[in-house]
Amino acid sequence: MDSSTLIGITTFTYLFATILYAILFIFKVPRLSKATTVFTIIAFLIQTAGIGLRWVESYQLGIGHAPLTNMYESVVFFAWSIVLLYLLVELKYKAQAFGAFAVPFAFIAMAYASFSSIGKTINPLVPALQSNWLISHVVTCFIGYAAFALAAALGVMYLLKNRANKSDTGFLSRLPSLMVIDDLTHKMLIFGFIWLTAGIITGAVWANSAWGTYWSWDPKETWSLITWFVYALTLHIRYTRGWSGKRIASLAIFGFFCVLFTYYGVNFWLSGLHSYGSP
Amino acid sequence: MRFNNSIWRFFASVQLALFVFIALATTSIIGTIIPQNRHLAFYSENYGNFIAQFIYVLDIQNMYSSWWFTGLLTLLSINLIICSIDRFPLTQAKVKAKNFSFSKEKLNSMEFSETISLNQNNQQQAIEAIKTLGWKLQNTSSLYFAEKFAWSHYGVYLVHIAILMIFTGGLVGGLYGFKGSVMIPETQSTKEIYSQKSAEPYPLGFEVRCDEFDIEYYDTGMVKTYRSQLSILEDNKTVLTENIEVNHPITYKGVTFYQASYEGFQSFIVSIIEKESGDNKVISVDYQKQVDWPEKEIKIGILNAQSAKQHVKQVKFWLFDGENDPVTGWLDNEKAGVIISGDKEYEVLVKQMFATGLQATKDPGVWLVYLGCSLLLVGLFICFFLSHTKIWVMQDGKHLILAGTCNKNKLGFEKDFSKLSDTVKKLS
Repeated sequence: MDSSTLIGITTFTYLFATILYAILFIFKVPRLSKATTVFTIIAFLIQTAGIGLRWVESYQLGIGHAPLTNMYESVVFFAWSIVLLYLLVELKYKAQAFGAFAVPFAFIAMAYASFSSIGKTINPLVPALQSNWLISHVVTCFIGYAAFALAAALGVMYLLKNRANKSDTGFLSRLPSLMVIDDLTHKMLIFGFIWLTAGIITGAVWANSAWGTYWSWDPKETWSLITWFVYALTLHIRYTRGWSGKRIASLAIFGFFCVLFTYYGVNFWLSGLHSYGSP
Repeated sequence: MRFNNSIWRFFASVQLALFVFIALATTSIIGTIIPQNRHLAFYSENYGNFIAQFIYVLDIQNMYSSWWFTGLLTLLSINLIICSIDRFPLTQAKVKAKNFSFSKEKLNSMEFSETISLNQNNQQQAIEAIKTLGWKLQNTSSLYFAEKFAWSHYGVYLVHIAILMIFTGGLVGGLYGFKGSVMIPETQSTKEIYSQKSAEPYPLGFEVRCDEFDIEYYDTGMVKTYRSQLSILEDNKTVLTENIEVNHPITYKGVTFYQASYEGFQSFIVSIIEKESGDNKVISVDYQKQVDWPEKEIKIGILNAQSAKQHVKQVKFWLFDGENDPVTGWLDNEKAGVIISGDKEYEVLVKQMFATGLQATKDPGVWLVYLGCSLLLVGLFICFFLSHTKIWVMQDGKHLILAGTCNKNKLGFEKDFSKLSDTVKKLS
């Protein structure tokens, strides 16, 4: 059993988890409730083992490093962070309907990792990446990204629920109340914001120790700052203008597009210093 | 301080903050699409003359330090300062609010409120029990009050101050800092570095020598490490010798040296040993130039070199001892080989010379930036996660009224509050 097998399995287990959550949400099958959560936890543990094993394998190759150093590894870690954060939210808030919106993000990420043509081999580290800042920088950024992914999922939930009639007794009525979704969105936004801030800071400190410049307006840096401004705006507008509901939900979705562009688009369309994750 | 004149109101307004956020976010995109710091010719070629002129008029070729972008950053700073001053009295009022003038009706109408019947004796016990839960109750007559994290309202100021600190740090670095680079060939030294912007020399006040430059490879051929052994010299005396690698710079007298690049030279260091006598010599040899080994009346040279990119793999070594015909032989770079001329054998090691490319920076603002970053995280944590919670306990005949409010994390406070009422209920 090697890491790619485990990570490959994860793609299908997350697909299956997505289907389970969707069935639960649309057809309301209480018997499946516990099984769905347990299944997702098992899927998550398989992925954790896969990532751990990949780490071990890199040491066996004599080029040991955390599996966080290229597009493939980061997408896998992104999916892992989303599921971890989602499971924590589910355990705390008992909102299983959320699963039908959040887990698909993890599945899509894994499907991209598995089926696209991005390189999957474990490569040795170029000199610039050989740093203790690697783990803290990647981990802080991706916890932030995962929180923003969940905030966007909540945004979609909110907009759907909002469109449903108050008297609607269909499956949309199984979504938590608008107030609860709105509150949870806000929680995800502030959580993501603090981690994104930490991610930008760890990146700056690392850049300074590698190149002697903590900020060079490289496209990756600039886009992370743009994303930061978008979320800063969202938080200020909520706090001072009392925005909530539909408008915050839309901003959460818009913000996640900025995250995606910072994460993926920059590597794809723009060139710069931060080219480790190029697909 | 709250002023009512329109200029003050403008700079204190949240609308301005929101406008600057949007303006900074959208204009920042330009510099990620249009390559920065190129010559006019580059832009003319790619976008046509008209747009190239336009780019230059608006400093878009260097937009992040253009007048209008720095203007936006300045506007953000002013807005942060004025807005903070403007709102401070309101915040202070929240922190120092008078909490003892509450009626029974007011307490009953609070979001968290509970009335528990309890006889007079147990009421005092209940109040003591609540204190042991960490609420420092104080009272005027029959109304008790306690609060936690009142100061968390100030968290937002910490965030704003932190951002201003980061800006100040950046400004200090820009004004008093220096970013330079220099290429130092192996065995040579420099007393100055060259500005990245103007290419003007900047005296270091000491001397840096590159003793050795070295590249390590993985089995796949990928570069594993660039390493330079640097020595710092003061008055021709070595005071420090250390290896630097990418991610491992050294700092001396406020100047930090980073491994940034390298250059392969068409020059070589030749170590030659005459096997019979054991005499040896290290000579630096330029490509296709004859060099003497003066003590031996021997001439050597490098006739040809095979290289991949900047790296010499093999050299054709030439040796003439004045008696026999000149001899030549191919030698691998950095591997000793034997050259025979007449009845004499020479062990020869040829090493390609490199120059190490150093980035040298002096940035007296960095510590301010880092301090700002740390405070920013602490401030955000206070803003987002510390909730100002208040509880009231009122003795009302045979009842004890519990009430509470919080400004964040209702779920957390709900738990605290039910713990509170459970404690009291045990006594009833």
